Amino acid sequence: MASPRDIVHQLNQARRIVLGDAKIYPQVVPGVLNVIGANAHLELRRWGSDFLAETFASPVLGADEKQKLCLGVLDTLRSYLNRKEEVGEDEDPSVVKSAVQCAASIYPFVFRHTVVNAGDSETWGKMAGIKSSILRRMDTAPAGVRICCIKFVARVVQTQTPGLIADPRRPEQNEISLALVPREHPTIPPTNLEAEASGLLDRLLGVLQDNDTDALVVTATLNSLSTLVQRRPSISTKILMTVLNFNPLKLAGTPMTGKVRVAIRSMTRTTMSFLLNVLKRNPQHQLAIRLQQRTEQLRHGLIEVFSENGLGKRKEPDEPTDGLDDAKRRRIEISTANGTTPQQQPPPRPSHPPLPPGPVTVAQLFTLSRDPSAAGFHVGPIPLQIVAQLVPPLLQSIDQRRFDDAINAVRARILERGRLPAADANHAARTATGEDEDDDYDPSLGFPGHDQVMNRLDQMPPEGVGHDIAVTAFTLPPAPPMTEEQRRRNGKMALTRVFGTLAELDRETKGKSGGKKAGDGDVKKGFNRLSAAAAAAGGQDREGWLTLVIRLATRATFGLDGPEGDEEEEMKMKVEGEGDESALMRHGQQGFELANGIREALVTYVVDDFRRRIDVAIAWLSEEWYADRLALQSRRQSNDSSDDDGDDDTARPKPAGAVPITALPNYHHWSLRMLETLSPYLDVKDGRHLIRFLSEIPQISREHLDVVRLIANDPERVGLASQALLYLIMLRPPVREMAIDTAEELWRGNEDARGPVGKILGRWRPGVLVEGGGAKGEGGGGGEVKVEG
Amino acid sequence: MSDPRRRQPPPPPPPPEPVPDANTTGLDGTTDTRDPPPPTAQPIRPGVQPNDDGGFKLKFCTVCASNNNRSMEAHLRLTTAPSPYPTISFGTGSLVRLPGPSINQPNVYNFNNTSYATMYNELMSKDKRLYATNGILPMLERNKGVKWGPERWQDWRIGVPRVGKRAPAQQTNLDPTTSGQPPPPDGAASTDADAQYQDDKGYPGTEAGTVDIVITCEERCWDAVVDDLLSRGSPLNRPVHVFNVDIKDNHEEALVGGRAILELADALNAAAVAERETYVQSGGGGGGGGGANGFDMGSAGARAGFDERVPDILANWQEKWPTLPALWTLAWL
Repeated sequence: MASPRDIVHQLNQARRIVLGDAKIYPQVVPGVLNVIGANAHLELRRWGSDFLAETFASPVLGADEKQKLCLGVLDTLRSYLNRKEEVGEDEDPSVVKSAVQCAASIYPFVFRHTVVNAGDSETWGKMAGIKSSILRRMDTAPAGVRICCIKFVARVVQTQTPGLIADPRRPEQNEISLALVPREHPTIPPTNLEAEASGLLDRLLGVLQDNDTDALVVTATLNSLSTLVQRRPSISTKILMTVLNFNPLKLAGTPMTGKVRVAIRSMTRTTMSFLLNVLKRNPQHQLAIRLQQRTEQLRHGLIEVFSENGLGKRKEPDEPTDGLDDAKRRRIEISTANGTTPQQQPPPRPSHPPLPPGPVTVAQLFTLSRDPSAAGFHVGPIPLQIVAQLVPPLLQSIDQRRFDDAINAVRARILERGRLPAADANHAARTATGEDEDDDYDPSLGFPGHDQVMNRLDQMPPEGVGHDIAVTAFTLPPAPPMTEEQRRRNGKMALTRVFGTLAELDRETKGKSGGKKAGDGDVKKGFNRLSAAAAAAGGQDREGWLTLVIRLATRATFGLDGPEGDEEEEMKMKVEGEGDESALMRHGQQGFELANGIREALVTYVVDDFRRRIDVAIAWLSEEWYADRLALQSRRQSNDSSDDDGDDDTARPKPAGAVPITALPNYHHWSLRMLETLSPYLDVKDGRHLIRFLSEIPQISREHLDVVRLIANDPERVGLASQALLYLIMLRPPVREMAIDTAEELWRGNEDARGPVGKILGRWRPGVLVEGGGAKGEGGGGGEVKVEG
Repeated sequence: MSDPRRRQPPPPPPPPEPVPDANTTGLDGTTDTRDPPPPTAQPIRPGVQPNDDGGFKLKFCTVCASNNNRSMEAHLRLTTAPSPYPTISFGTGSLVRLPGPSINQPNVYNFNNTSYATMYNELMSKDKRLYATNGILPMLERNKGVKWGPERWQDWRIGVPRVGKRAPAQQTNLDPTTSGQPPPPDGAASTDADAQYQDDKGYPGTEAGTVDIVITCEERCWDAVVDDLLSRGSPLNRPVHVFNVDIKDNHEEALVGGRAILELADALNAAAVAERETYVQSGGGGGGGGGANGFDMGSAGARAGFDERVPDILANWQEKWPTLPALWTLAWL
């Protein structure tokens, strides 16, 4: 007998032949079967199981041949899978893996065979045996085998769930599914099969429902569920809901080993890919919004998990054990679970530290904790309504004895201080900051701003203040007039600070939205936008601040050219409209410089992350447009009263009724600028953002569309530009004509764009296509030349 | 080893510096056995016979945007290693884009029906100096020696045997996404029509047109590959590990990335070989009676199969190559 090696060599030659010509499979497969059976050498079984898996997976072997061949291999597969029962030893995992893959491939064919040959219960029985063997090992097998079992189960579910019937007259053409089975089939009653499929689906989804943390199993499950979502509408919603509820970031709380990092990233990114794939296939999906939200949420979550850990910052284990003393911890605890605080408070401290010698601040006076981080915690940023929510339950939960102790301690301190002369820090602060500060002094409030003033003063050398200033009203001398240079510098500094705060808030929002549930964050966002708009940015959050920044840019200089503004100033306004930046600078001086600086920075800010900040651009440009309109109106009014309109008209002829975009100097300039800056960064997939921008900014001109036209110069982004144009044509009637003109120009000027733009023109201006028909062939040649050159 | 981007291996007993936690070593108990991955472990045990072609080999597939720089460097690396791996390579872009005279004048070619030789000749005639200095010609020269021409991932018919002549170009060019693009350079398809699959480097083992491991070189490509596999509906029921190794698209980084990918491949293959060996050691191969218990006798690290060790292997690899952020999923062909 030849050695296994030689046999494998011969088998490989046979394989080479069938790979070259799939027609030979029906002869080769039966011939091979008795060489690779259960009694064969390990090498041969490995080869055999791989070969069978490959054969029934091969796309070049027809479905009918596979259906005929599969009946013969059932016994071999069973012998691989039941080796333990039949021979008494475990089968090699790699043989089992391939056998299960093969079983997954042939299952639909055996199924269809049984549907057609209703009497052949024997074949189905064998398949059922294989199935139960696979299901039995699914939970205990090594993970490598287990994932193959998962895939097998997914295939069974796919087979035993009704699919779409494309053509009821030709059943052999349809996809294999439960829909093929007649209602009263003797061997495989459809109701049983469907029930089995439903149970198996639950078993599959169990991996996600239990929030399994084995990345291998989770990603294998997700990737095999995708087909079911695509092809089996009856169960797709159930699967999607499970995936939406699955939290791949669950491991984030555990210590970050390399493996955990890999697992988190893998599971999260796979979940995102899964959801995006569903969304991409059907953008009108009923769950589309949730799919989108969830992917965004996961994206943020992932960034958050890794940005925190990237800095070497560690999670809970490193935080102080007495939770309430840590500033950050307290915020979380109180806002999420009020009831738990009392239990977590440390036992009462035996005594309170005495006040340090020398001058003390009010804050020091009331600080009983020894923990520097708690003492340094700034309460100011906590929103008022949260404080209002917090205080009652806190007061209730405080241990009465401890509370009394604390009050007594403070009382004792105050009495002690009272015995000392009054020349302390408080006094110095009052004299330095003016008398009115006195009224604010109310120790019972623990007013944070006040504390800070005190604290800062505390660090100054106390004696210098105490002796040199007499106790009289002190007025600051008026500041000397600023030079141009100073003004510029201060403007810049203001700008940096404004955007510095914004960046900080951005980071904060990111952190919050990652930690909380999506719904939460969104409600807040919407609400705050409103309140911020109403109160012009009293808010501490990003939305409010953005509104403030935008208004600072658009409105800060608004009053400078009000109705009282003289003729000359108005002239300058107009000149500036033509794009003369220097005149613009001269006119508004610092205010204007700041405004334009902010605008510049806003452009950069949006472009930095335009996919998420396009709404900022739109909000800003809308404000810009509104402010320009107001300015125009007020100018007109004053012009009407002084009866001097000719000037305006010669500068910018405008059609009656509509306001020409050139009359809105800031809006025109900056909207174009925004679009131009943005356009190089737009990727092929960014059509959504471009369309959103173009559709939501308040006014569009020819120049805007020219920018869009230029985008189409990149052959890859032709689709992007044409989609944007099509959208404008269909859904923005005021610019429809302009957009069609642009499309026509594109069609004439750009070979690559002919396909997509032709479709637009075909509907909206077919005349162009007719007249351009002759030039088409010629144009094709021209394109070739261009590429070659 | 000399590369500064590769983190130097820590002193002998590697301190688990990122997280001083007991769990690190306890997860599977795998750390001890796995730690020094024997590069391309060749089974030289008496009981095991290596295959004709030097032991079991995983089949690899490298992917980048244009199937020119990063994936081809990795392709070359994997196929010229001391123990070469069966390898194929693809690009996920819509077109092959090579740098042109300026940033907005790229040289654009169609996938699947333009050979590296055609590109080479064309660029050579266009501006020999420019393309020699920016490294494009040397790159194409290298690619010519690896395989015939760039292939597009989305057009790959998974599981269709790669034997004999390459599929005719016309068939693959029907993809609607490439319509409206520049026409193929003249004569590309006809002159090289007799290109054979077996001339590719790393051909042996890839005949069946399937792979075990896909390694992409950019996150965008990973997304494209995973998305494409999800869309195809996994008709083959065959598991595939899809990795991403983020490599910047320039020649230097491609070299570094290629080396890193080879190291990852060696580690993965060693694990796969170990899985097959474990069974033989435990007595399964000899058909002895002790097989049933023998499986449990292997140490924990060796007993864990190949697939479940992948996250560990990747984590270990990432430790050594911290500047090439990696990503992974188990998908289905």
